Amino acid sequence: MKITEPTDDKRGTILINHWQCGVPVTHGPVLTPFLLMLSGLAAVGVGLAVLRFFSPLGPFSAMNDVYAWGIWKTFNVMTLTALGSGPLALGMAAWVFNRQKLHVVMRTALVSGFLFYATGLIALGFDVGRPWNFYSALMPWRWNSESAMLEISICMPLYCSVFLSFEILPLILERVYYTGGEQSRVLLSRIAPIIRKAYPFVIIGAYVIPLMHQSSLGGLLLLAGTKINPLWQSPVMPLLYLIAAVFCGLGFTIFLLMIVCLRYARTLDAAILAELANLLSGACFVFITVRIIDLIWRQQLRAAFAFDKMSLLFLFESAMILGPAVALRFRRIRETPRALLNMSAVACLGGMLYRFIPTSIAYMPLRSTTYFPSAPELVMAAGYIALGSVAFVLAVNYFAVLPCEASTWDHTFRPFGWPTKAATSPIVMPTSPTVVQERAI
Amino acid sequence: MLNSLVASAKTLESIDERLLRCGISRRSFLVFCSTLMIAAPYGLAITDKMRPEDVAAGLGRVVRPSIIWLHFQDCTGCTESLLQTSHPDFGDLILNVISLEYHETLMAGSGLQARQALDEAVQKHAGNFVLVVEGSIPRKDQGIYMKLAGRPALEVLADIGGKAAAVVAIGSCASWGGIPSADPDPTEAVGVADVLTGKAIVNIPGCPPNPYTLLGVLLQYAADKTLPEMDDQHRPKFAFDRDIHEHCPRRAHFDAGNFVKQYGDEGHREGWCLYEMGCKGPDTHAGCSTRHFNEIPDVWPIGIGAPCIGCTEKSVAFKVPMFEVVKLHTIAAPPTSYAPITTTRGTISPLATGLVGIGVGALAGAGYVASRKFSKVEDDESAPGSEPPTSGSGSDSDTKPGASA
Repeated sequence: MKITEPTDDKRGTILINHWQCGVPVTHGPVLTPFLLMLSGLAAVGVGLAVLRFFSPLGPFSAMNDVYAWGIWKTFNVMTLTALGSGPLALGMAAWVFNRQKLHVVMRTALVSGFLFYATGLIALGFDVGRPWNFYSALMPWRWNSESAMLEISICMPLYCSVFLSFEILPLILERVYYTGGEQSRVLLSRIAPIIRKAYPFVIIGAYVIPLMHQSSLGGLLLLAGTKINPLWQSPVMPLLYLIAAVFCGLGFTIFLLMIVCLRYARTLDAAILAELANLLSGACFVFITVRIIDLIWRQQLRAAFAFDKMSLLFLFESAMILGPAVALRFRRIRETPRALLNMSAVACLGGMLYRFIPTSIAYMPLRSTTYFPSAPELVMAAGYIALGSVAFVLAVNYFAVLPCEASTWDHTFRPFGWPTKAATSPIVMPTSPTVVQERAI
Repeated sequence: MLNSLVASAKTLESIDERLLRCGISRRSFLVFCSTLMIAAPYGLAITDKMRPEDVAAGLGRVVRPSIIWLHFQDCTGCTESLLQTSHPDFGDLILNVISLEYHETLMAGSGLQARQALDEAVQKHAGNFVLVVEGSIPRKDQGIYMKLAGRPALEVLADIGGKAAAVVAIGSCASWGGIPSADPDPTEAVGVADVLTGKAIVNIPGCPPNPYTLLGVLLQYAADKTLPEMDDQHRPKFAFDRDIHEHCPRRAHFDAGNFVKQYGDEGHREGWCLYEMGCKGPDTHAGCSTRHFNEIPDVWPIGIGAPCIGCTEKSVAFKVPMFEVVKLHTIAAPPTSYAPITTTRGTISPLATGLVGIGVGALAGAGYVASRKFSKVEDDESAPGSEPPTSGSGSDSDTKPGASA
């Protein structure tokens, strides 16, 4: 990584194209009208969710006996946790395959992934038919080891509440360090080395557990058997769900980074984005390859090109994945911001389609019933997403989430960051933390 | 046949010999063995076999157990229940499978004759017979409220029970006091275990209990002088280890929140869950929900639409009011009402489709605007994505300004 010279700009807004560490947004108002609108939507959604808790599921959703999985499960959980798999995909690349360059964007991926999982779990919590029995999930002796749902109901909350939370712990500790008193600084300086040593071992779980539950989500659909159209219903669905999670996570991380950089007027690091785009393209190719081999193996290729409704849907979905995969092979597209943004968005949509279609559109039980989410259901689903968005905006404003140049932030306390040259470079270390800020943190 | 029976009554022979003498076919015996396997499926040494032939092989060698049956403060309901067994029917049971020496309800004799029969049987089989007790034992005022041939029940039980090889307390009354011990308990009624100590006692509570439980226990004892594994209340585990609620045929209605609110209402006619009518199923351990009475499907309280009263549980039956809703310990109680979830046809509301349209449109629009911003500012050096003037060269990571600029 190239080290840029520290500048005397104190606001963290100067345009630098080498991301080196996380830096909070320190300028501009936090409470924008857009954020207030999102908060309002989140409040309405959560309010409805609370109402639903005291009232039955019936008036709130259009779910019925045949379509017991409404939009909260199929979209908020099955589909959006794929977007929230950024930490898995990036972490695998950064930690396991040693692409150190990517550590700098881990924080953005982590925060977004954590929020996707958290809001998905909230959605799931309000969707559980018998919530008064849910505490049994904490008691292993009450587990039903025969249940396919068990793996997910244990794994997802565990991943979100333990491993992802541990991974984003540095953000919170750093903030405590900068805003807390002298005592907390001393304490943190003492425990930081311990946490730092434990960090790589603890987060092994963070890369094993999502592999399990992301594939289990596909495994769950195997139980639906012939109810799912054979173009999607396949024994390799667990694997495909996992690969879809990987490229959705990568694609969404690119998309998110570009959007927030646009919003907060930060420059883009072409090297990192190109690297991510490379990975995204590769993952998409792997997905398409597995998908085609699977179709040939199951002799469904003819059905895929029958040009009926399902076939067209399949072709559309595949094009959405194959398009970015091919396009991002071209260096010019990888390095043109607009094209990269578009392609990552298209790849995300393709992955989301793949995760969503077998649960809803291609899910065709024999009984002639349809499902379309009701208005409260939709508002609740949108409310959860709005809740996550509000939390993300607040996170980037108050925590060192978004990547930026090292020189714009005080680095006296970087106990958890990956050791980069920037962190160890002879930047003049102030004796006391001088938080560069325009706005009071 | 009658003569041969009378002749054989003098000696006890094995079940095989007995059946042969009475001309009962091998096939009917195998049917009986199969019934036993089903009635007492596991946990009972004599029926815990793979095939009915194996059960028959073990059972055939069994010398018919001699039984002395005493009635104390009871309603004879347990006997009535036993009378209804059809595999084997009662005649077969008492004549060919067990050797019933004394039973006040069934014997022809009375008065002195009956007393002599009892004395003789006790003397003849002392230390070998199984004593079955039906009914509770009064203790108040030296037990004068229940007398047998002039002797209080306490004395009779101590006397005969002391000579028995094993004691089976059948019914809730004999197990712990049952109905006579219900508040205000005028006779201070207690069960066999409270009077006889230091004896092997099997409690088969129930009001009435399933006769196959008794039969299974007796046959196992006759076969190898062992008693089945028992729980802390001396109930044989093979029959009392299940919670009624866990295996109830109406459990699905409980889970779905379909409850009978009033006898005769729609839910009652549809066979919904009786939990809110005071069913004690969640607190009661017995095999009723899986082994119905008299081999007729659904012949048991809940099956005919009456809530379980918990007759096999000392702490429930005749202690807790019949219509009191029990507290659930292992699972949380469902809400008292659910909205109907059975929808035959889905609906698509125009409002919902409109909302989806607005949402998708807003996202697509925002995406387009964001995307355009990137291209609009491509020439602007200070815009995101452009090559900054401060960066060094030589890196393959430099962004390329669009060629179209």
